Amino acid sequence: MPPSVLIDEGIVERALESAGVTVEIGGVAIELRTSDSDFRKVIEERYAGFLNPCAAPACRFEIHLTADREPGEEDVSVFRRGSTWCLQRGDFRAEWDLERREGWIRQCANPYSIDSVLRITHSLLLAMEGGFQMHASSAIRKGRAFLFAGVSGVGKTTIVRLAPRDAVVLTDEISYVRRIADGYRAYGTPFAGELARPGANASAVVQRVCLLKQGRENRLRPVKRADAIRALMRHVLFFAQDNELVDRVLDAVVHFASSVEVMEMEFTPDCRAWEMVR
Amino acid sequence: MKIATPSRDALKLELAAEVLREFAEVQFVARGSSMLPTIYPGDCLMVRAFGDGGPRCGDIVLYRRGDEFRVHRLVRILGEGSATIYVLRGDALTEEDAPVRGGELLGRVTSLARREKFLKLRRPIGVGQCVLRLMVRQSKIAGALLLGWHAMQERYFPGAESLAAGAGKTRAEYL
Repeated sequence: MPPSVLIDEGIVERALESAGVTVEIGGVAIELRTSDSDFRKVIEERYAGFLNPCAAPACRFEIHLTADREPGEEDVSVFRRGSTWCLQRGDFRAEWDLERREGWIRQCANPYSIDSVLRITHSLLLAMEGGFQMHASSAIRKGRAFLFAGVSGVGKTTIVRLAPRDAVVLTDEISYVRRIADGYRAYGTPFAGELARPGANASAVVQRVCLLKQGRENRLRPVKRADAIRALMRHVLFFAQDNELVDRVLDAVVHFASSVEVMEMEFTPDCRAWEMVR
Repeated sequence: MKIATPSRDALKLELAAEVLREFAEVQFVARGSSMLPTIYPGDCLMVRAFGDGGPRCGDIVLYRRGDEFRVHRLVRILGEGSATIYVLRGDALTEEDAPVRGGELLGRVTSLARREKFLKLRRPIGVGQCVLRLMVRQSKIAGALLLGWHAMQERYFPGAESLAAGAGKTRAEYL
């Protein structure tokens, strides 16, 4: 007779729940732990295409839900105290210890707050290694990534909505760029804009950044390097009041502008615009 | 992992793809080291068209990117139906390839020949292979050592070259 082992299913379930949800964006994993099973489900659904339980997290956050904080219009404040990063806005407060790679978040059960904490944490992690997040939509075509940057309303979402079938949309809102040996690589993110659809969890080497401009014809125009850097800096997401990291981001953007094509893309909002994306 | 084709001429690639579609099977000689420790340069790969099941995660897949064929492992399938996207990566690489659409995937590597031996590709892979793969991915030196070991074996076990040379002719060349 083989020995029989009785497993209480409740124990297994509790053990699985006590492990966090590991969200991996651009190859950088962050583990989120919460004791609230409903909020855990919200996180799992929101980042469904980007969960990787096997990834080694760059940091772990314990989430404590509070009822009194709702997303508002306040500005975010991100600063460093010793080895601890402090992130705060009206709807959340978070601290993250660089050395222990651990931290906590106090927020209401609103998913926008966790989105913001993730974006800010990624912006810090990226800045340390020479990458950045950019307010731009992006897509892969023929094995190369194209970024479409511009102010709100210029057509970042429109351009990816018009994407042909052979293009893979990485995001319509926040592009994720990391430095690699021979250039830069753009990764898909789950952060959605008007499209209300997360990007594909895929990546490719960046070929070109298009500075969008709606016009009467489809036209690509080269941009002088200084103008390109100025334009790119306007769209880079960075929140921290930290001179060292600001310097690094500036260096990264200058290097980026000299390693990839930056062009102004005037386009009419129909699918012929994609004839310029190749 | 790139594939040694008789010529990198687009027309010949087209012919090889045609053979695969027509006869559901084609052989290639691999070059490059992006699929170490699973595939070594010089291995003769047997590629079969996908059956009814279609590509599955973990399969080693032949696909076309521009003017070359590549053989990498399928790590993720995104979306469904005609919108499906496939993400592949070489076993020795830390970065994934740019995603491909279903139409670009040509077939699955089912077995390979190395030094007069036919090897079935095991799924799931063993613990030893897993550890080797991690080492190769983490350090270039590990990859170089493996390649050196492989070259030494090739040298002291003659016969392997003749097999590889014979198999190097793809079916496309016989047409």
